[in-house]
Amino acid sequence: VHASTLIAAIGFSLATSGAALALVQSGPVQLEVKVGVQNTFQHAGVDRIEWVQERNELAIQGKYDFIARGRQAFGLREATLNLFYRGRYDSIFDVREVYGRRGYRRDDFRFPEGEIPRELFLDLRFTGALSALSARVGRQQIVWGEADLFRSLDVVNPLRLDQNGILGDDFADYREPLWIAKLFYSIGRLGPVDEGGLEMFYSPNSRPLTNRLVYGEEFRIKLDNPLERKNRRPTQLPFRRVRYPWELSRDGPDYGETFDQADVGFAKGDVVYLNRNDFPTATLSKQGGMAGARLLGKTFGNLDFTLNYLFKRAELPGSAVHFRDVFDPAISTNGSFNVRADQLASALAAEATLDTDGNGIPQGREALIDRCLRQNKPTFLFGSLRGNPGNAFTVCLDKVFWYPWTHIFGGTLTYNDDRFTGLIFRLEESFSTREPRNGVRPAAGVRAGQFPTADDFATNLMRETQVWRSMVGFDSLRALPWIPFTKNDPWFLTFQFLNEYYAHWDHQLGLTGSITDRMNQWNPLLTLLATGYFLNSRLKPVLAAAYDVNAAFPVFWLQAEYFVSRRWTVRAGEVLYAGSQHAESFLFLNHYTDRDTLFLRVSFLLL
Amino acid sequence: MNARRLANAATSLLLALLVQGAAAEVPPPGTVIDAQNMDRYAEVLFPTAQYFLRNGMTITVIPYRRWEWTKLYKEATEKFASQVRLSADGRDLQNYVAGAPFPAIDTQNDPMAAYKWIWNHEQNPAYTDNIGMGWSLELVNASGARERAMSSNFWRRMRWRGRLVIDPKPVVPHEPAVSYTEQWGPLDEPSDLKGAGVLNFRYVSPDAPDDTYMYLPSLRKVRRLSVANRSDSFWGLDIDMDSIWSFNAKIQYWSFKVLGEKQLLHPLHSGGYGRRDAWCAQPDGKSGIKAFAFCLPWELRPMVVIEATPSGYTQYAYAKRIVYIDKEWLSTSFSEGYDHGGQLWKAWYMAIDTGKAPAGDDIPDRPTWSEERMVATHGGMVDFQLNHVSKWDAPDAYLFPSFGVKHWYVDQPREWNTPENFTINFLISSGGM
Repeated sequence: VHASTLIAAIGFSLATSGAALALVQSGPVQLEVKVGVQNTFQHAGVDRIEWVQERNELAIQGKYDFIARGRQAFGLREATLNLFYRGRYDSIFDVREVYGRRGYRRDDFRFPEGEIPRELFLDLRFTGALSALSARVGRQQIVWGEADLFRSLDVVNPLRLDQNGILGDDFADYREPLWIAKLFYSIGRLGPVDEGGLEMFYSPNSRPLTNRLVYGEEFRIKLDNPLERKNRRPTQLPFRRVRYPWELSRDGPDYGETFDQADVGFAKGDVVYLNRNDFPTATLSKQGGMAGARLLGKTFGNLDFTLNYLFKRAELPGSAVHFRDVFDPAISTNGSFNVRADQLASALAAEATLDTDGNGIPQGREALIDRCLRQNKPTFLFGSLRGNPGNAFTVCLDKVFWYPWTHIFGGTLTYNDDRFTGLIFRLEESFSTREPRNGVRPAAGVRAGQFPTADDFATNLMRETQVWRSMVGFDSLRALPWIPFTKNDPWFLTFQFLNEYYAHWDHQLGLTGSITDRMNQWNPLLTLLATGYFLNSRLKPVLAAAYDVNAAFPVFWLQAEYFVSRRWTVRAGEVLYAGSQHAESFLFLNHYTDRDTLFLRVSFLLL
Repeated sequence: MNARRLANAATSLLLALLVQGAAAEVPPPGTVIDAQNMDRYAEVLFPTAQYFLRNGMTITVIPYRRWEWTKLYKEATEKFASQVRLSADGRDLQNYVAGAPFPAIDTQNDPMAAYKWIWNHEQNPAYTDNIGMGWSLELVNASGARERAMSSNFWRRMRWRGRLVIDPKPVVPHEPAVSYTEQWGPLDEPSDLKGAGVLNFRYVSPDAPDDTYMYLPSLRKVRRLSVANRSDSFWGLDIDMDSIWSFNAKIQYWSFKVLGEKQLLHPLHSGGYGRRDAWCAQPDGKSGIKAFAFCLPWELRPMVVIEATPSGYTQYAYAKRIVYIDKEWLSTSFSEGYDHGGQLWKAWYMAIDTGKAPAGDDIPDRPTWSEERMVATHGGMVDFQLNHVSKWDAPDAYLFPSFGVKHWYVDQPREWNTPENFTINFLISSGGM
């Protein structure tokens, strides 16, 4: 049916036929082709198990040396083209009928990748006066920082989180490669620094990937029929309904419609936020530009250091709610009904029209509903779009995503304490000057009855904060001979204490945007991971735990990869989100969203 | 043979080896030694060789051939050796410039003889500036089945002091001063480690620990690694970092004593370059331990046997190592490690091909040298207690003689074997992804 299915079938046939294929490595060419299938099950304890993924993957990795090693041409001593193509077919959306009924049988879900090579770049090294210079140009990943799985300095490439859970894949598989030109100049020895180097890069392609996220069942999974909103399934019962498997949160902004409640003092009404993400999606855009530099080297006391600088867009958006489109800032907001006169007149006129189709809604109001939900224009109308009898009106408001520019300054240090502890100590610190946040929406909690206020008009609910991100950790590489099957093979043990500190946090929603997610000023997180190669290099386990202190949220990741033969590999794992049911973690870990996950992957090396 | 029997046999053999004047035969050139006649020649066979012979290896004895140092190494030794001093504790080499630090050692009477032999090994004449090649490695179990394979077309090592051929020489400036740097990888296989590489810095200062960095494509970044436990194996192999090239430990963390001087069989002109049939059997799952060993020519060599005891570690997997140093080469192809129960545990072994070119006129693009050089063609690390091996070919004999194979080079300028290429940036770049 699909090309990737065919390829997987060919791969399976070759595997079972015992065809003797070898790694292609001849002269300047290296090529490796791999196919794999991963099945994933989400479950809530043992009560409910959902089959949510059957991923068929084709990966092609290649390398071509334009200049033979040791030769020179055109002022170059190396010109190597690297290619990594990954095509994915998530056949579960075809296999499971319920996904078809929910509208998930869409090509962007079934074929999330594969239109262009995932990574494609040229490595260049120069000769003569430029011999200290090297370059990497093309679609690539740049990974800075010493922290694992923490967006502090490792923020050059955005994350793709709409294809899989946050845990279970290799870290490199989450990042979205970008078109980047990177230069590295080897400084060598300079003052107190040895092995010094300066790395600089520019990308015209650093568009945040929020348009790829699946947020609740609304963002990206738009409900086209306005009347379906009545049947919108409750987000409060995430385990009792079929959902898109990789949605980021149980609640959040809707691409076309997000429901909220307005309380203007003497009456309540529905609010529909008309989310707009106007950020340019073109591959090349000045608006999506990003530049960075880092200095690295070795200095006193056997310390390795980096000093980093980035200028980029914030990767998570804030949003600006355009109250003025419907409300009049000239009218007092403390309990007064402050709808703009033209919007009020339009709503009143609509109520005066006839209900010619007999559905109980005047034709004029139906036109306003259409204006709100189909034309996505700011609108005021009488009656509750949610069908809530207690609500007297509905307001549709523009809510525009906002990605401010931010400067990120940071640095890392590592220290090899060979003498006393045998540990590698890692430090990372970064400071981001400007990151967007959202004020608490004017219908919630203490804001009830003050909709919208003078401050809302002035700020459009936009907030921003400076953010400090810190990490201190240590690594140990040592055998634990008392473990029978690992004996003298070393375990790699790594511990991290991570923290995000927000300079401004009060009266703001948390990063998940969920109404139950509250912003904290200090956001500590602990991680511990153990891995290694055992049983004669055939078994690679990953045992990991993380704990979000504020949310009292532990997560466990238990995985084993077994290399059956040169060609066959099996990976099985379980991710347990054992966390709070009352608050989302600032890391997007969510007991409701990130349901416990069991996965099994089989891959076969074709070439 | 179980581990205890092997250990007892090894201990007895080692004692026998070191008893001067023991009555045993010395095999003349042309002798073929195997399991049937090995006991007659026990005096010239160290425990690892006996283990292989007992399990199917054959040794063809060839005439001894003297190996001459290169002209530059000889000249440097004559010029600088007299100024070299060993610190009182043997941990530090002072005033060393180049060449052999201690060309004349009174092994019988000098209480520091063992330290001097080890320092000679550290600055041995096989190469003085740089060296490199491609390789493949396979893990083979007791039934002779291959369990896992690794390969890379890019191993390289550069000396930063004692350099004689390539500028800058004799020292490449660096703070702290570096003894050598080495990069393993990027790996071409296995697939899960494709692109992974390890970069190691060995510093001159006795108090400066090695620095090790690993690039992992699955993380897309470099991790600095603690190498405090250098006796632990890595990547699930049988090999530990201190055993590579027989004795790769930082000398300052060890104490040494001479056990004796002997004529021992040693594969130093063994040929076999790029040949899979150099192995006694292929890893077919049927040949058992015979697949661990190479069946290549050996010759009687003048050797000194050193016992090395770890003294600077809080924990170390081995209780001691026995290192067999060739008195002409100043280095060794074999070392044997004992566990804390006194049992023979593991051994590093390798076959050396020596000449102005690798033996074999039919080798495509055969490297040549103006003077005799030595390259290690086959070897491994065997675990006697588990009957398991991680063995390698250099160059990659599976790939050989395809166009892509990377031959050995020794003290020859290579633009990728220069100081600026032993950096984290180059480690990442060479990894590709």
